[in-house]
Amino acid sequence: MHIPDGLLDFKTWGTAYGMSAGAVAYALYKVRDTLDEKKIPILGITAAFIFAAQLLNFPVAAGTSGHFLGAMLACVMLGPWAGFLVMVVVLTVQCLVFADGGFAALGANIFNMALIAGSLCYFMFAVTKSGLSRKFSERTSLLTSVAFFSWLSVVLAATAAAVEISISNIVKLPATAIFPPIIGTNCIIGIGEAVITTVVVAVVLQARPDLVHAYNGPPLGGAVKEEAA
Amino acid sequence: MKRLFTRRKAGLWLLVGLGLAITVLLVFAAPWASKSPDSIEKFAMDKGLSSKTANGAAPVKDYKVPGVTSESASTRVAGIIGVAATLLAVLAISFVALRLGKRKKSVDLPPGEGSANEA
Repeated sequence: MHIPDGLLDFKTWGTAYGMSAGAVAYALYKVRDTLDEKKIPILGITAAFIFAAQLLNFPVAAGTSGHFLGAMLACVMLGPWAGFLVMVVVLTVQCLVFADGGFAALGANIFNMALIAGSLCYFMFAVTKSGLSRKFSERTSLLTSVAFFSWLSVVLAATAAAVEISISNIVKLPATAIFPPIIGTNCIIGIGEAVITTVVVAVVLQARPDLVHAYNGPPLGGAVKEEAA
Repeated sequence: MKRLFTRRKAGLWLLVGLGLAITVLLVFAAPWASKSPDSIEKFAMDKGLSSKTANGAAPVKDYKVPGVTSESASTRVAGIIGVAATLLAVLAISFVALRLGKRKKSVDLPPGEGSANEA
């Protein structure tokens, strides 16, 4: 759901650029002191996977297609700010190298698909997960919250795009002509998002729970790491 | 740094290798992706706004590599370029972030010296 150039006015894309630039500065500041060097390979592979997965548009109802977003996957795996930066890189490469998403709209696309779908949804996810973990196991709470909030991340990112197109008022259409077509399609795309994100997180959780940032429970399979040497 | 040489590292690289294999597979499959417009493109088309929307120049515009005639090869090469660019950018940012973060810590403890003496 990359916004092309031509649908946003200056006040909207300018504001979005400002907010996204602020978020990037804050994320760099946070990541600088918390980045664990053994996580770098995971950071790289997560970004590469998300870029590649975004190439694969799948058909959705009525001659429309959609693809995986990956913002929640990035944040659950890497944390809300490293995950945000990974999404910023993916979106910037798509914009600068492939003209996928407008250059003026890049700030808005980062705002929608990295900040809202990533960091914001991650924080809502974290609150929900810790609430659920009082009644259910850490693993169940995490995967349930991942499924719901990865669906929501796509819907919210689409809503934000519709809001930006609407307040730009370049298209001169009432909100009822903008919101339903954009958000409706993405409610379906979100199901694909939820399935992919939950499966990937579940697989990594099984193999190496320590690599999932959002996982707070004990290591699975009793593989307690001792650094006695 | 010690962590690099513990048994668990093998698992990490296995996982990274698996991730890379899946990534390559996805790029290979890219030519078979749906060509239908996405939600916002479709919205613009349906409302007759397609003439208004346009994105600027880019080296590999619309995932078509200039000079590669086969459409599927072009998409795959574009995918490889994108994966490589993404990977490089993320690694570059990580190393810069790590360096800036370390410089702060090294005020307390010069890196390398402490652990070298321990052994």
